[in-house]
Amino acid sequence: MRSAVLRELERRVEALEVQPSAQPSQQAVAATGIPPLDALLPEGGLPRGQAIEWAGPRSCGKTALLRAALARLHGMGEPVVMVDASRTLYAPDWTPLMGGEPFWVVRPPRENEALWCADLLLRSGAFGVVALETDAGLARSPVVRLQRLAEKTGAVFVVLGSLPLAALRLRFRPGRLEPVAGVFGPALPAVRPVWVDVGKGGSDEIPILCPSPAGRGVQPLLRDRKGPR
Amino acid sequence: MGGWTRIASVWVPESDTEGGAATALAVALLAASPRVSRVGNGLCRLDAGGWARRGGEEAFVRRVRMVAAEAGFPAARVGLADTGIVADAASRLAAAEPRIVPPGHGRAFLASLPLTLLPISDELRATLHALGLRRIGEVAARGRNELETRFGPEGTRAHRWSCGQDEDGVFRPITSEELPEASFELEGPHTSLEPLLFVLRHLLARVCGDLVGEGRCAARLVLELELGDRSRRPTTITPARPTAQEALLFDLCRAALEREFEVDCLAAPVTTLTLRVRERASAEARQGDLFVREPRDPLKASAALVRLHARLGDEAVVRPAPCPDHRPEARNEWTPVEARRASGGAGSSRATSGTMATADGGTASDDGGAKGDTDGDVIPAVLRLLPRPLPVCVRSVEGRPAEVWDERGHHEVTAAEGPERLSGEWWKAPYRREYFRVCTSEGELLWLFREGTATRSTSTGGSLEGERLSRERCAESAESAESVESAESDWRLHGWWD
Repeated sequence: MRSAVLRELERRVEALEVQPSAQPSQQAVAATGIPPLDALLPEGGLPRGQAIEWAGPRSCGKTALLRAALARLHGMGEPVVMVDASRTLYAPDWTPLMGGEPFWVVRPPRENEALWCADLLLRSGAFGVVALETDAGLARSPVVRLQRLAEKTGAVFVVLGSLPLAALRLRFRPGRLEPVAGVFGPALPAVRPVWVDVGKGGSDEIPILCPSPAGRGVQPLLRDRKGPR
Repeated sequence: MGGWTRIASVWVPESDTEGGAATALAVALLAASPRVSRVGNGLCRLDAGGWARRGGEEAFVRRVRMVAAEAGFPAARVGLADTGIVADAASRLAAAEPRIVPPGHGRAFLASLPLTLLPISDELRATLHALGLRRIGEVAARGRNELETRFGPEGTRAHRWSCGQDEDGVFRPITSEELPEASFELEGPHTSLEPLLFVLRHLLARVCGDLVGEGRCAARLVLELELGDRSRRPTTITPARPTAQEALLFDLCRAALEREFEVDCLAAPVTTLTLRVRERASAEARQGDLFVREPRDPLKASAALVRLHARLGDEAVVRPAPCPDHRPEARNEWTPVEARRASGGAGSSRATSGTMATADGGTASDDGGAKGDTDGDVIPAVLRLLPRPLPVCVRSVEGRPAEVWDERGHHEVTAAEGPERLSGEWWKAPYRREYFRVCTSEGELLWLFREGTATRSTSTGGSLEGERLSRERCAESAESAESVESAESDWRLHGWWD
């Protein structure tokens, strides 16, 4: 009887050892949920405990892709925090991340405090994902310190901007946008391409929705008082 | 006996107890008693009340000596009595064995002792000697008025001490609830944070030790600073969830202290630090998992939030809470995260209202993108809204932007959508705008608007001088200044899609 119980326990332990953990925080990488991007990333996701560069010029789609990745990780139960040093995030775009696990945005009054915020948040070990967005160029030593903290806590640490050193560099650039014929001249297409380059992983094109599909106004939330009834 | 106030004095005869060594001894004594007061001259007083019910005062004295020996002071002498002055004298008399003065016998104990054991000035001691008073009891036998008349306040104090009475109550009685608390009276007033943090760590060790011993957690604590001007500054600390974790509570208390020092600017130096548990809760046991690492602790998130609040202000940590307003900048509302709610759960009620969770330009309004994930659909664009619209120069053709000059240079417009007119609030801050979504030859998606002349200087804070400067900056970035001159300058860049 006793040996049977032991055998059964051994079998269960072996099953648990080979089975990948259901907990997202246990995995070495965090999948972004964006298939073309995950296909480019080593091991199919963002590495935990590493500094990740997430860079590109204005309008290259990097924030849209980051938001999609954060929303996916947040939905998987990861507490997410974002340091918005430039204070340009637009609240209605980020409400989908509300609910469930904590989602905070830290908006330091002075941009030079962004690094301190990231240090504190990573050090706390309470967050699975820490995203730092700052226009200020980062020096090497604070990035090394932040990377060590991320490594210690197993957090995904993404910097929206250029890094002097990074375990993974994702570079985004806008693809060619083909205008469509509109009533008053060339108009925006429904979808635009964004190129992502992951170093040795290669590069690929990811489609992103253009703002304002036809027929939708500036204020989709509020009824247009002057419009047709 | 347990209801009486009992005070223990610890005296280290060596002169090496000054400075850091004395502080080290005092904080080490917190392990023996929750309340410690430094008197000076190598003396520390400890609250020894209630030990009659917990193994007797002999056990307490043994513990004090053991703690002092572990702290590197094996020669520490201990005295125990009803009042501090009697305990001080007893400790200085005690040689190898500690001396415990029974309750109510303080005056009799002092009567036969020499005047050198009273902390009076050398001048007064010499005068009393000259008058033939050699023993403390002889001073106590004199009338109080007589000493006051002759020596003033110092005489009154000497008489009170000789009768075995303290000037003030050294320690306040513990409340009937007996909630854990610890306090530390600093030897001198302190204006810097570091010594307080040093003491705080030991106070927390004491309080958390008591809580763990009871199997309870702290739901609410009060950290009280007593200042040099006798005023008290209590700060309530409420962890997101009841806890007895020392490191976590230290972070919360440190944030409170930093706020007191850096934001609120204390009126006087700190003399005493007290930590009281105001509310307790049962310790919660969480089911662990043999094969899963420690999950993210929401209490740590709360501690981080408190530190962020302390340093950056309450508005620094926010959640999105869009406001139903027509103007994009008014809709871009963020609500501060409260410390109590930092550990999770939904945010503000406004933020979770379904129809508000949308993006401008309709990119994430009522399509699949509003869920925030891709779900196989195309990812919606995200708007980056400038805190203040930036003046730009635009050359328009038939009212539609064709070229844009901003601080980054010249951009040719390859596609434009609009105008979408927005106006309102004529009763307070009128605005009238025409928004365009434009795509430049570099692939940038900009959000521009042209402002009506009647409202230009009010709704976006623009001015003629600002427009002139904007035009100059645009001209600097352009190859041909003439083309900029022909451009219209009543345009603003409100953001871009990224």
